[in-house]
Amino acid sequence: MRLAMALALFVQVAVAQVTYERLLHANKEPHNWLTYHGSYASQHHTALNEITRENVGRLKLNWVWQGRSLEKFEPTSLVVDGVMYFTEPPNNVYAVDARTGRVFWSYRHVLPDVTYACCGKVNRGLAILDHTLYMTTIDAKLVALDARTGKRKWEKVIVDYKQGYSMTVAPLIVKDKVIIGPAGGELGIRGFLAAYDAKTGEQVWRFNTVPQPGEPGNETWGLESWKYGGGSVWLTGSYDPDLNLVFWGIGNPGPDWNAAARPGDNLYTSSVIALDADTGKRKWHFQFTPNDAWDWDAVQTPVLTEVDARGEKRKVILWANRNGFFYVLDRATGQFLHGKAFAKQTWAKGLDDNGKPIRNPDQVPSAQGTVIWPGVQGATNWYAPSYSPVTGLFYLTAWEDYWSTYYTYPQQYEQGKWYAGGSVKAPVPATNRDEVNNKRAKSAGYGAVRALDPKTGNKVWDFVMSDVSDSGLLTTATNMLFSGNREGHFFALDAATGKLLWRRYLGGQVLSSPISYAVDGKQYVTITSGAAMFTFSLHDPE
Amino acid sequence: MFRAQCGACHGPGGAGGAAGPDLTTGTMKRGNSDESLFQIVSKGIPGTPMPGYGASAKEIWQVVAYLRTLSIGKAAEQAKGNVERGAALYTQHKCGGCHELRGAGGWLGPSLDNVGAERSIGHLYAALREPNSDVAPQSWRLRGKTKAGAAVMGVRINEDTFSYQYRDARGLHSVAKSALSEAALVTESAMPSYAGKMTEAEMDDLVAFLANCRVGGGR
Ligand code: HEC
Ligand code: HEC
Repeated sequence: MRLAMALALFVQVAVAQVTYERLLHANKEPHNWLTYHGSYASQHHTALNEITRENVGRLKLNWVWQGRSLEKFEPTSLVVDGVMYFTEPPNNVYAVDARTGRVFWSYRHVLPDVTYACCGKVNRGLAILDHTLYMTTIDAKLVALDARTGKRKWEKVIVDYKQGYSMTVAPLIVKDKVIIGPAGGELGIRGFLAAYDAKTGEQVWRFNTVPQPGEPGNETWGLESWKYGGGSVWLTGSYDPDLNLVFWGIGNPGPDWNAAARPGDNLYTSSVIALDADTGKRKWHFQFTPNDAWDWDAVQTPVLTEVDARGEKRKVILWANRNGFFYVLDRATGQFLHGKAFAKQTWAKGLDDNGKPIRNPDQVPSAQGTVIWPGVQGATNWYAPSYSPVTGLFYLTAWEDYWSTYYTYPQQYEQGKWYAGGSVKAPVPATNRDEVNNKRAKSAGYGAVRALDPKTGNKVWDFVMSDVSDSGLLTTATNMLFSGNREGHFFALDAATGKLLWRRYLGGQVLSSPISYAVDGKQYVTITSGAAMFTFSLHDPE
Repeated sequence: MFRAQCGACHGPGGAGGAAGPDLTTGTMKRGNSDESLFQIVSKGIPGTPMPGYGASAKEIWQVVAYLRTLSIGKAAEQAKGNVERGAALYTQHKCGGCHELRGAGGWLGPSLDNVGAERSIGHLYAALREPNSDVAPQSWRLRGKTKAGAAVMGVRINEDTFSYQYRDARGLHSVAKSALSEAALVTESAMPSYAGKMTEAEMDDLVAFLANCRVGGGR
């Protein structure tokens, strides 16, 4: 059209954009944090090296950003050339100066009065491509904002939220596509992972995480149970550009605790799926917990690296699952290489040579209640683990010796209603955001930052905490590990030994993963606590 | 309030009635700015039947906001010019140097992607003829110099005791006031007036083009 041609003549002002090329090579610019997991390999590791084990004592507060929302504050920020972008729950977006915290702009997404988030109206963060930021919303929309002005470019309804869907995941950009999926595993949804054109929001491909009749895997759902089968998507996946595969962890089957209502393995719930990034076609899948009866979403970060396994160097995914086992998978084929329990668990006797659990038949929810390890929140959950190429170790936040009593009862599906087929009693609350208060019995278990050797799955060290923790981890090129915890602390450990190097009390539950970035050559670390965000850097000795 | 107090003269939907003019055209002949509408509603128009209303400032502003909605979204149907010719004028006058439209252009001025849906036709004419009449504080510009001698120039988007936040063609910036040797806020519009720089017919064409700048076509 003439009009479009006329517009194309404008001189484009040269502003540094976040091209796909930059996302692909995010590790070449460690001063930025360009994707939710920091890079496509999702190692939660920074190459920045100003802050060291020797000088960490000089780490001091730079600024605090105060949120106003009473919802759980779970975002991981993006940092692009000195500007930090993040979400405040439910769906507000902020751009702030990464050195000072001063606000450039904010955006407010207005939600309908009634929405259907299972566990709080949370949001985990943003994706950026060129000058556009992408956010999913509790009312199941995809919103595109201009990163320079905070103005909305467009928004698309992804799925009808009234049927129990919500969206909390930070999108993943691959090439010119925005990859997202819905939450709602406790509300009888039918999950999917789908890619949308980054310019227009039009759907490019969609993969049903609960296959419909005619699709492979539908036969793993007895009694027509696929209809409300869950299989939610609420944590960002990883991407291997050489294989052109995205790896994504899929949520639990529904109803959560009544596995008898859905005889079969219930593919692709509680699994990792590997999809072709261009077409959404499945290359392979690996199911951690077939016929999951405990609500153990495989919603963990797929950590990509290379390790020696079964006698040769392999391109692998490291995966500490909510079900208490640590897995090493070949990422080209999905082949199970080895695995091992990393925390106390009683539901399986172990894993067979294909990585399938050898189940303890009596360790399932029952009408009168069954005590099972790990408890409902799992031996770990969605908060980020880390892999350090410096130590070669894998780190995670573990809930050790933690159990629940699992009950089951029959339940009919009703639209927009909780559809879990049972209930649980746990000695530890799922989250504890009102106050930082810990009066648990010792028998309720405890939290630990745990280092594993990915070659064996053996524990190398533990940093034991009084309470459990919902904080992710960050390792550094200088052999440090940053994390926070439910008690309200933010701390640094020696990544080689687990020894405490530094800590600050921030007074609010940490529900996110730390990041690190640099502006004008100065390194910063950022963490959330309570409803606020805190940023630290080295200060000169006084 | 509108239906009860104003409808009798201006018609229930504001489209003109027995004793008052049409308020939905998007061009108020007594002044288009929010401020002048506020004055008209609160003080009336002396020498005409239009009465003043002694309501609270908050209520008057609500009425002003409501008056705005009467004409918003109608600019495209009200425009009388030629859209294609308007597009050519947009290019000829290099509006894209300051405005982003459909993914291209500068960004000293606001994006015009959805301006046809968000603004009345009167506002569009006023923006071109008298950009200085109603410059909102969010369009004020910071003009300064750092102690190191570098020029600072951009739209001031936030400020506190110690710093300015502004955006320019390179992106978003924060600068400490202590780092500046000179700083002033420019409250005049960065946009030149186009009154007299084109014929009235051309102005109509350009406004018709702007009125049709809407996200997702018509809405
Ligand atoms: C008694 C009849 C009457 C009532 C009641 C009345 N108006 Fe008017 N209004 C007029 C007339 C007549 C004019 C035209 C005056 C002129 O410009 O000559 C006018 C003009 C205006 C204008 C300026 C239009 C322009 O083109 O510049 C605005 C705005 C306006 N009225 C708003 C209101 C609002 C809002 C209310 C109710 C709160 C209201 N009027 C109630 C009779 C009325
Ligand atoms: C030198 C930069 C510059 C140029 C050139 C320029 N503008 Fe603007 N324009 C601005 C700025 C800055 C604003 C913001 C408000 C103000 O200052 O009045 C603006 C505001 C506007 C608005 C009002 C937008 C709104 O939402 O209120 C319109 C419409 C507009 N310009 C159209 C044009 C057109 C059409 C041209 C070309 C004929 C043009 N501008 C050329 C800088 C510019």
